[in-house]
Amino acid sequence: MQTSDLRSPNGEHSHAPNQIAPAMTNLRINISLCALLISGLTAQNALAQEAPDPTRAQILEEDFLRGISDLGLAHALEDLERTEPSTAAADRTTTRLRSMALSRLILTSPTTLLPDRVIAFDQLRKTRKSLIKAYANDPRSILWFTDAAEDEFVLGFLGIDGGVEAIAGAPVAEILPRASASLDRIEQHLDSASSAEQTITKTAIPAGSLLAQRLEDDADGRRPMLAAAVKAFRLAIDRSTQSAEQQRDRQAKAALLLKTITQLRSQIPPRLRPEADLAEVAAASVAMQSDIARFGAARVMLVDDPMLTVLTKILAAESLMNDGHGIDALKQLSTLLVTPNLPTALRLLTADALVRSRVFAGKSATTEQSLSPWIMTLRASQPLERAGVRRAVLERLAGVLRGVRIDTELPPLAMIAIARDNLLKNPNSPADLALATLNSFSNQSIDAEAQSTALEVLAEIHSSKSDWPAAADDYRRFAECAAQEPMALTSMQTALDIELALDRANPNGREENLERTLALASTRFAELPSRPSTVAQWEALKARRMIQDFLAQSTAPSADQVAALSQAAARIEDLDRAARNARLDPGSRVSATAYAARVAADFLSPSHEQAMRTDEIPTIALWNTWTMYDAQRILRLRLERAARQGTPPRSALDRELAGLPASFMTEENPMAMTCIVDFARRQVDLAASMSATGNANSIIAAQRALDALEAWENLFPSLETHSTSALTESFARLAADAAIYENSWDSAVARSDWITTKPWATIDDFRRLTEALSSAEIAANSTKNTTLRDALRTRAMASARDLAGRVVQGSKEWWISQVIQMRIAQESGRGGESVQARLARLRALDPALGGEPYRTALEKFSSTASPPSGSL
Amino acid sequence: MIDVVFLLLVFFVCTVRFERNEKVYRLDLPSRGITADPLALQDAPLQIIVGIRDGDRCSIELRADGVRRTAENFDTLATAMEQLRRRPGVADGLFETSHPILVVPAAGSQWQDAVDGFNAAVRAGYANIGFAESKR
Repeated sequence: MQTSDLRSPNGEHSHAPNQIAPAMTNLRINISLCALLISGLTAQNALAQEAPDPTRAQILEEDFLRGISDLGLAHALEDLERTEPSTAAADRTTTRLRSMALSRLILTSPTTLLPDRVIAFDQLRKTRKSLIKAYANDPRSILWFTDAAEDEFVLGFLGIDGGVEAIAGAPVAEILPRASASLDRIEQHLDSASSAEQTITKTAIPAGSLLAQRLEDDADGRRPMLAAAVKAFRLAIDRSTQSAEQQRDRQAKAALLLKTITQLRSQIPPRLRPEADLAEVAAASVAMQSDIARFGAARVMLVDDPMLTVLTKILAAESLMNDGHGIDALKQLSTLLVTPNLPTALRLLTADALVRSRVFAGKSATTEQSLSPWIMTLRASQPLERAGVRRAVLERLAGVLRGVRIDTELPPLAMIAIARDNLLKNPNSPADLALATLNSFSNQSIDAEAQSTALEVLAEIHSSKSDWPAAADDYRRFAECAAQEPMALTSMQTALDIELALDRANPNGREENLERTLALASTRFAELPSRPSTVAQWEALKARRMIQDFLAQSTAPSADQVAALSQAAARIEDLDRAARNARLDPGSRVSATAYAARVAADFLSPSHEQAMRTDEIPTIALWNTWTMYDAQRILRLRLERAARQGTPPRSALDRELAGLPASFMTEENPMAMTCIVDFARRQVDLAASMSATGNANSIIAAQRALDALEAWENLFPSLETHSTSALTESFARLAADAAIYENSWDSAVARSDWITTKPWATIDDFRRLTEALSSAEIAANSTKNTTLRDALRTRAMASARDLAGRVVQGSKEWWISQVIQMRIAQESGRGGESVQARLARLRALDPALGGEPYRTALEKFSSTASPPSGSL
Repeated sequence: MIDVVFLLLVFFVCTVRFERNEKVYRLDLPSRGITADPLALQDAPLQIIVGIRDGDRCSIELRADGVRRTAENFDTLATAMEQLRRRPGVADGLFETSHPILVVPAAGSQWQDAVDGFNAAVRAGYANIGFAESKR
């Protein structure tokens, strides 16, 4: 698809047709960016026609990249780099400009986490610095300095360095210097821009050019506004005690700034208006008594931005507090804190203000009442954001309570926060008390919030000290305790990773913990990415431990028993080692685990070992002497073993079931059904996990398991009603695949055919039937069984036609059906011109004939090619 | 009597028109109930879709898997169809002489146009031609 070039509406650029695959991408970019660029382009067209403007294209290119970053169009940036590599661009700044656009994209993405944000911002700073250094005489560098100041303001001060919290007066000590340093950097960039303006010769800036206009706008609007904002924020975050005269002077300055900001509003780019509002709020908070401040506050309310509104209310309350109306201020803040649907970040900001105001009003910072706004905010947060809020609250509590000893009078979260702060930031403080506090909270279950917080902190502390066994336990216990939080999944995976790594380093060292972790991951975290292999690992581990227990506990096992068990245990160990060998591919590791589980299956019940291995004891004897559950279990294990050994399950069953009481298999006794359905489900899970890794043995496992299940079904028709439909479907499909894999064509056709009669049959099932029929026909042809061959050939042809009618022309299934139809026509003597004509039509439809492997298979039918060999 | 016979003779001599004999058209009506060879390739018919006439113009479209063409008139339709027909020793044709052709008149189209479509297919050398029910 040819795409119009977004940046060349007036024909200035000449770009090759853009081969961006999805048309929608281009459309979206068109719509989004045309609006962004159109004003600049139309305004400048007239000027461009009057005088040459060499930097115009470069400026527009920068606008274009900023548009991509602001709109979050990562794919557009990738497409741009692919179709027009920056290395080949005429403007040598392009590479760095695109790198900066990428960093800004990361920074402005809401999904970027704080650590990644910090890294991206550092990268942006470095790239911009090197750009300005390399092109110091480029007049655009003036704009680049202001860009640096703007990014430092919007992405740094407000985004990373806690500017808003500093204005609202967060009591975390680290925020203030960080925000102040950020403001210093903005000022430096603004100074550098002014210096560059002086040093760069005016002749480098063509009169009337777009660059000249941008520089003018920059000098008149953007830079003064940023400078005013910096001054306003400096005034707002300055909480030093001042004399009344100094205070009046400060208020006068703020009032003046408010006027400046109002005057500059019309001259700044629209994108900076929210930041101008914020600067106005900051200035108004200082000049709260003046009319202009009140006007500013009222105007902010009209903007109806939640953050600005909340911030204004907080600052208004603070002003009331300073004027001696503490009760009113506390009332206002308390009301604001319980506002429904308040975003958590703003609720936290309000809680900060409320705690600070209570302390200001003379209440002790260590009382539960003073700290309750933070604790309430944590409790009110959604599970999705709980981890982030918890961390923020702990840091705030620690900031307020620094130097306070851990005391049982404090709220639990406050004690945990102090303990965490002592252990992580004050290595000289006594660790015993802190650890004991955390352990005691982690071991109680009355206060779930305190328990999960203590466990998370313990995991953090143990990880930081590389105490991995303890960290694994903490992560696992946190996952168990806070299962409703998204963090639980991450913790579970971390616990699993650590346990497996520890087990690799020292097998058998922490088997119980490993088993507990695997069990929890397998049973409660269905969405865990590694769940299939986790389940198999758990099975293998259980068996391994049971064998060990049996060998350890058995009073007088025979020599043969010990030898057999030792052999099995050694085999399981080998397979386990293979499963944990990081150098092996994942597929082999999963299959090794699965094999281990299978080898171990015979030994799952050590106390029944004797009965299981002695075929002479019929199940009826066990039935009479053992409990019903034991008898069923033994029967199932025998059946499994018979299936694995290839013994026809039916005969094994007949032998076992002869003479059993009818109640054993009736509906009054559902245990047998539960038993076999569980077995079937495990086999399906196992086979599916192996199949997912491309292991061919998965279908053999499924085939054998299905044979066993079928034997049970024949004896016990109601079994099917007890197995879930999903299980039946999975099993049927796996069995059909297994039959195809084993070239059991009768079975493959019958199974595939049965599936296609079901309402849940999918296109893939029809595809399987067609392919099975086709392969069965080829097999019958090779054995000269002409009657069967003709019957299968006719069915295969009909099935292929049916498949072609069910799918979209040009799909994978459609091409398969074409290959099969043409092969059958050719081999049954109906080829010739009709096949050649069909081939020509297929070529007209798609010159690539559907790509490989269909192209090769179809080209064999071409009259110029050698005689076809047959199938796809 | 002879006058009457003479007058009749003069009348018939004057009114007779020496038209060509009516053509004998081959027409394969859509088969019903005939079992096709189950192992032969069953090709979807090449459809000649005849639209509603608008003055001198009549929309004609040729449609099959991989083929979609429009024709100005029935002569160009015949030419196009001939180009698509496979000839011995030539590999670029798409449709055999025996490929099923279906004339599909639109609802409201003129019967003469449908017959002209049929004739164009015959002229292009196709042998297996039928009419479909009008498209509604």
